Amino acid sequence: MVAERTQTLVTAATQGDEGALDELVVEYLPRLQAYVRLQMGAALRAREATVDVVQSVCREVLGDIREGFEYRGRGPFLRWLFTSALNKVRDRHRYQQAARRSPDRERPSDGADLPQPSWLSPSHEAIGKEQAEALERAFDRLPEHYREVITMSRIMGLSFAEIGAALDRSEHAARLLLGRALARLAELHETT
Amino acid sequence: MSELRADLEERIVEICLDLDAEQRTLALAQLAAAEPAAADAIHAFAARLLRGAELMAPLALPPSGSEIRAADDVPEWIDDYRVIEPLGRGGFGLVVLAQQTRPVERQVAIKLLLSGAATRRAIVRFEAERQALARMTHPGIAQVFDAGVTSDQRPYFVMEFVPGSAITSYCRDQGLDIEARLRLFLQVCDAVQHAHHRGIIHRDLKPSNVLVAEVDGRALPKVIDFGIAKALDRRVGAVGVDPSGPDAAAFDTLEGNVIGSPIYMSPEQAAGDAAAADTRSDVYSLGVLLYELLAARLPIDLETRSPTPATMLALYAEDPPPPSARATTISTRQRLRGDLDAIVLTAMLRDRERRYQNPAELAADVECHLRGEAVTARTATVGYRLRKFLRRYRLQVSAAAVVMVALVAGTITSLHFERVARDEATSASESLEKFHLLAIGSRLDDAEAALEELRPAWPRMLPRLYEWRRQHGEPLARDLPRLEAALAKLRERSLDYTAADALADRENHPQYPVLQGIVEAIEFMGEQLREPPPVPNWPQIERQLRARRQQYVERRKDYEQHVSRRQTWAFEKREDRFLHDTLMALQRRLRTFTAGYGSATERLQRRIDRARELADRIGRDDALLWQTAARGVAADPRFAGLELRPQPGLVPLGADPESGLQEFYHWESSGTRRVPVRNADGQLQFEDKSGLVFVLLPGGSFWLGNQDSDPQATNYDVRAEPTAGPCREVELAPFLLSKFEATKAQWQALGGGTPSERRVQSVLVNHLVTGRYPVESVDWNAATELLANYGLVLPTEAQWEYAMRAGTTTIWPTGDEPESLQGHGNLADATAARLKSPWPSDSFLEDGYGHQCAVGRFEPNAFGLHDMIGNVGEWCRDNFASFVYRRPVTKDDALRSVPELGARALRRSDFKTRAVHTKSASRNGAAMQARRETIGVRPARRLER
Repeated sequence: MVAERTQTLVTAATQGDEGALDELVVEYLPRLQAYVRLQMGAALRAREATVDVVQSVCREVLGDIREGFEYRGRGPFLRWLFTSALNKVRDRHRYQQAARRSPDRERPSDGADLPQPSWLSPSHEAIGKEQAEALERAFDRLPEHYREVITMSRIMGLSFAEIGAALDRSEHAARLLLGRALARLAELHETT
Repeated sequence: MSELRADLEERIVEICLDLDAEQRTLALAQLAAAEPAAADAIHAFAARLLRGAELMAPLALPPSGSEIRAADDVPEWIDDYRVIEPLGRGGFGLVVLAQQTRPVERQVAIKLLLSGAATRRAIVRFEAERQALARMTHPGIAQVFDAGVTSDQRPYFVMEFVPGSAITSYCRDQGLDIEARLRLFLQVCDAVQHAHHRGIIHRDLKPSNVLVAEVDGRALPKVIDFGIAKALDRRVGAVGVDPSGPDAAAFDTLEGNVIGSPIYMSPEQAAGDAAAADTRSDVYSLGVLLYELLAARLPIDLETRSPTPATMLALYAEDPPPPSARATTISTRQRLRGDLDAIVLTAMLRDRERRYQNPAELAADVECHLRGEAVTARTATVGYRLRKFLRRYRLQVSAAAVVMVALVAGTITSLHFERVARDEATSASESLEKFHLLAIGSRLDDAEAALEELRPAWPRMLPRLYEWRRQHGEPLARDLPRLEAALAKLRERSLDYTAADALADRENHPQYPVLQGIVEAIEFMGEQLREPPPVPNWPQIERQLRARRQQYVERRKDYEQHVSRRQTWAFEKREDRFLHDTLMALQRRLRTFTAGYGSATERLQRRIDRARELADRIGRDDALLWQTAARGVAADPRFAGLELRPQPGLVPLGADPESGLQEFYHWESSGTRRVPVRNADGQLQFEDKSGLVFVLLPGGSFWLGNQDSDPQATNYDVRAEPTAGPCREVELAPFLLSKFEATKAQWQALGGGTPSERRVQSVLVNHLVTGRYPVESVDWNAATELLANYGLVLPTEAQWEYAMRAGTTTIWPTGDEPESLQGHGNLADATAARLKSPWPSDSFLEDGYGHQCAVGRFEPNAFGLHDMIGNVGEWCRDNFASFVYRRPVTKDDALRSVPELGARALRRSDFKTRAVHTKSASRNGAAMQARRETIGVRPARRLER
């Protein structure tokens, strides 16, 4: 049903329905923010402004589907969405750094610095800044494959079958991997 | 953990990731019991895993409301029922829609539980109650047909399938008003009462168990899951634990071991007295449900979505706030205050003896309210509160009662009576005085709410503004000295003010750090004066320094006085302290209410002044202009004999030479108050801070939308977007619409601040942004609120499209070809492409702007309106949802609105829009809270008749 809803929204959005696009943004923004923060690593994360960028990027990435997007199931859609968002944030970051070096350059903006409206519930609000940072530090110390499986399951919201397909493992193995990863995360969190 | 066997690890992962809290606890306990050597390791690993999951959970909040995990455990068949699709996932398992083939062909809902000993027992308990369940035949109750166990040992219940949504979502989506919600609620009460008559208690009433289906166009609520909560209740003997035995306590502390949704659960259920749940427990749950229906919120904000019963018990320790206090709009707050508050709170009383005793009593009170009769809850509550108050302050109840009775009766005839009254008059009047003072809080609320309603500040509002002053402002102002006298009297009884208290008051004073700074500065200057630094012009500096030091010494005195003022008073009796603190808080509120900038009194005066000024202008300064304008309109056949009356806040500017339509200046949105003048060609001359100009549009009937079915008929577009229809004829009354998009300077002059992403004076591509650039990044709510202060509104979609078309029926207002847009607006064009803008653009258009531009840079349309095409998109008043667009419209302005839906219509023709999306009938929407640099505002105004 979630899959169906996602498909309906994506289809409507490709046809230029701004309302559907907004719903997609509202639905995926918190996840996208969490995802981008976790994937960016500590150095980039330290720049708080980067978080604000995610909203506009999210809208932009979702906006791209208006230019024609072929929906091939929820799993591939989510993986596309999350990776494009991350890439765009990285691009944006590079651009901002370049802009900082040559401040006289002016370029039409696409809303990169929109303030965060209050209807968002970013992880920082939900669990408090310090806790979120502690969690992010613990997450950074996880081995790569653990980070990957946690992100797919808990942030992107993929099912075990979808994770299995992405990692070329069985569904059963994906579940076990996630279990171990979560336990390890808790352990690191305690000692961080 | 390293000694944990791989198979055990796998089993734990399965338990932790696939089972819900209840099942999990049980399964882990069983596993640990089966592997006693590894028990500690099992629990440790499981705890870490769950902790990890818990850590990650808030990151992805909020997952959409009723999210269902991927359907990896949905069977295709459940015995003889063929599963069609999953419907949802509850605490106990999965709910699916299924097809029954025998003995009758029908669709049913099946609740499939996770396997486990406890759940199998549920079936046994269900069987026991089956007869009673079968006797329930009420249209408001979904029947439970069957129960069984699947081949893989999973118990299930088969129920009537109700194609509907939870009652709360239904009310929200349909935008039902309070009365409609109450009527729906009455039906729910009736259904629950029916079950109670047959001895069946629901025990788990909550919105997701009350679904609303539409039958023959009528809303029919249906209560589902009757009998299931009881069957699932494993408190009593569920896993062979004797509830009174030594194991019971341990079992009770296991996580999630209480049936029902905590927030809707009555205190007696949460306290673990599940067996004692009775009809009044359901009344409590109905009370919470009514609370949510009325206030659109729960009584408390939950930090987590599943509070434990222990948290709930802590919450019950305090009375819930009345629904009116939690409602989000002023009108709802006013509507709920009084009867409805009392009804809900009575249903939710902790002491079940004092609640309504059954749903019928609750329903009866709701009905009384709907008929406008006195409700029992209210009289009972008032009396109860009075008693409680008197008890609390240990006042002479008898005396107070005597005086009150006397006042009500209005006759003091008996001598004896009089003497009693006189003897005890002091204490009695004291208590009455306290009632009066404590009521100030709610009177302030009422006054503030009433003042909010008095908008816009137009001459016709004057009588109501004066009335407000008489009724609220002045009496409350008179109460300030009374309140202060009472405080002073009370303080006579306060405990001694010790040196320690004084010190604490001083250090807690918000100005204390300033004083500290001053003291340090004086010391520093003193040091300098004692040991002059080696500078050549010291005598001159010394003079200055001494003068400065003297100033600081003076200021220190002022601050000293301020900071040393007594802040706290201590009392021996708790009652006194409570009363003192309450009165002091009221005193603070009353002071900010009666005096100072932004106080209610001052705001009222500003509105009165403005209304008077508007009246003066219309009646005196602009009278001649209005007569001329009225003659112009009367002579214009497009207005069919409309008699134009003077419109408050507007100044006639005469007719536009091209369109022939009358235009008006809105001087309140101007930063300069200079009215723009027409040059020799009749063109208006603007400055950066000029205000809004409104064009009076004739309205009449026109064809709204595009259609792709009949090339011969009007408004044909072979590529009509699905949202652009249905095409139909709409009738509009004459109305006023702004000639331009509202500018940044105007928004600031109106008091909306500077929300825009692109600020005045900033550089945009190669332009300097000025005050004549359109305001943007304004959300729908902010725009609507601000405009209301001035009697302005957003245009409806019909009004907007009518203005965009300005008489045309072609695809674009400029013709049937996209190329015709050239030179008519600031769109996503070749300039944008040249500037490498990230959004797609049309290379066949060239407007010279790569981003937003000042208003009025392009040719006006036939109505004399600028920038209907391009620049920034414009909010409309309507909802944006396809079913709303098909609804009948209001008279005059053709509005389609369901206030509680979030998305609002947006005519998105902006600098990022390509030709294909800027047709006359192109529609769009955005969340009310959306703020984007592509969304602006074009204010409209109703015509005062």
